[in-house]
Amino acid sequence: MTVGAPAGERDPSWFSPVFVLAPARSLSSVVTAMIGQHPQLYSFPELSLFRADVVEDLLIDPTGWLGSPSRNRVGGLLRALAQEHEGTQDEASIERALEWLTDRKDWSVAGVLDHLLAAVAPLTAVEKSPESSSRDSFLARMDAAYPRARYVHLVRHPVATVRSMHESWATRGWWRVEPSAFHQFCWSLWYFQHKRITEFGKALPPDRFVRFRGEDIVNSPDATLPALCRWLGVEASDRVIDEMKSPERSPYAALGPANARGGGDLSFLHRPALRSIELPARLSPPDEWMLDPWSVLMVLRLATELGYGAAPLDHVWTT
Amino acid sequence: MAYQPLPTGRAEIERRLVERATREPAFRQALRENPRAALEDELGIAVPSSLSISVVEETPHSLCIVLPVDLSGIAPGAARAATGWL
Repeated sequence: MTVGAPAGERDPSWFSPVFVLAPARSLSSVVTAMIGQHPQLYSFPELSLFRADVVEDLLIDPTGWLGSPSRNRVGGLLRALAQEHEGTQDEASIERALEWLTDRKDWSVAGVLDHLLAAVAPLTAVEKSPESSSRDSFLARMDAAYPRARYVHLVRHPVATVRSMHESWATRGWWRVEPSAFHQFCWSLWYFQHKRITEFGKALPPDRFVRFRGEDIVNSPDATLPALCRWLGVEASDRVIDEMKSPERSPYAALGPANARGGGDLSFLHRPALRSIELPARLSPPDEWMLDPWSVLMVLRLATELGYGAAPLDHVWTT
Repeated sequence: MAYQPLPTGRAEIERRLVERATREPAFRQALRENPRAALEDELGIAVPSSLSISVVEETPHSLCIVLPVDLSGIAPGAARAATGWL
């Protein structure tokens, strides 16, 4: 079946994909790869589609853009197109995927996703792009394009997330942030993105929006994955749960060819495997982080609401 | 565009505290006597022990000006990229 259409010529009811919503550094790469190992599901890499209306705008950086360049951000999309078109992800197939995309500059981004969803049907597709929940307008675009979509809000402890963001980004130079303010930058990102996702979820019925702590899925998959599978309406037997514990089997669990690096967390793509992750025992940020005290209160409040209570946390792992 | 600081939640929390303190004399007294406990009660969180809290009441003959933490190390464009704010 060939599905896909220029902007304005598609039916939003064709598909009901699953979107994992989370800021970057929230364990979403490993978790989404785990979900994709379920025999009834298929996980794409980060497609980063909903930051634009049409394909043409995916390929260029907006004026004044600060962040990872567009060419980096289409890496996952090109890998997915190459994989679905040719069953491989080498430099030549990536070039042809880029050509395919460039020939469809007038397509809506949802038209491109429809094309990929049709390619993996009848499997239910799962996609996660941290960028999708970085603006209200991006979430609204996604919701309008797929009114039957379901959402998994993936949360991670704020201190662990900010530590991971800092380690990954502090030296990138993408943003104009002084080193002394970088923890605050990451701290605010955690807050605003989770707040946005939380508010978005409040407008959805329980069968379309669910929340999991990433640490629980990674550290206790046997206890948490069956619940996720039941919510998704797919088999939850021991056999499929065992399969889901092998995220390294995803066709996207690698860095990708030189002309399409990424599509997920680079440290996971470097060493794709399920491994336990630290869950800090307390919510308070380290004293040495220079944070506005009001923003500390706001994050603690939201983190408590999201399942990181003031009491000692369950399943605390340290690495 | 005029410079706008990164939002921190200060306005929302201050408004809640002041409104409740205005409405409930007991809460106003609690804020004076044990601000940490009052804040924890209002927000439902454990306030970090490393955070000291001062409550100052204005009078007809004194006003307080609070200078917030300087967040100018985060350029507005960066704040927008990170938070979607603005």
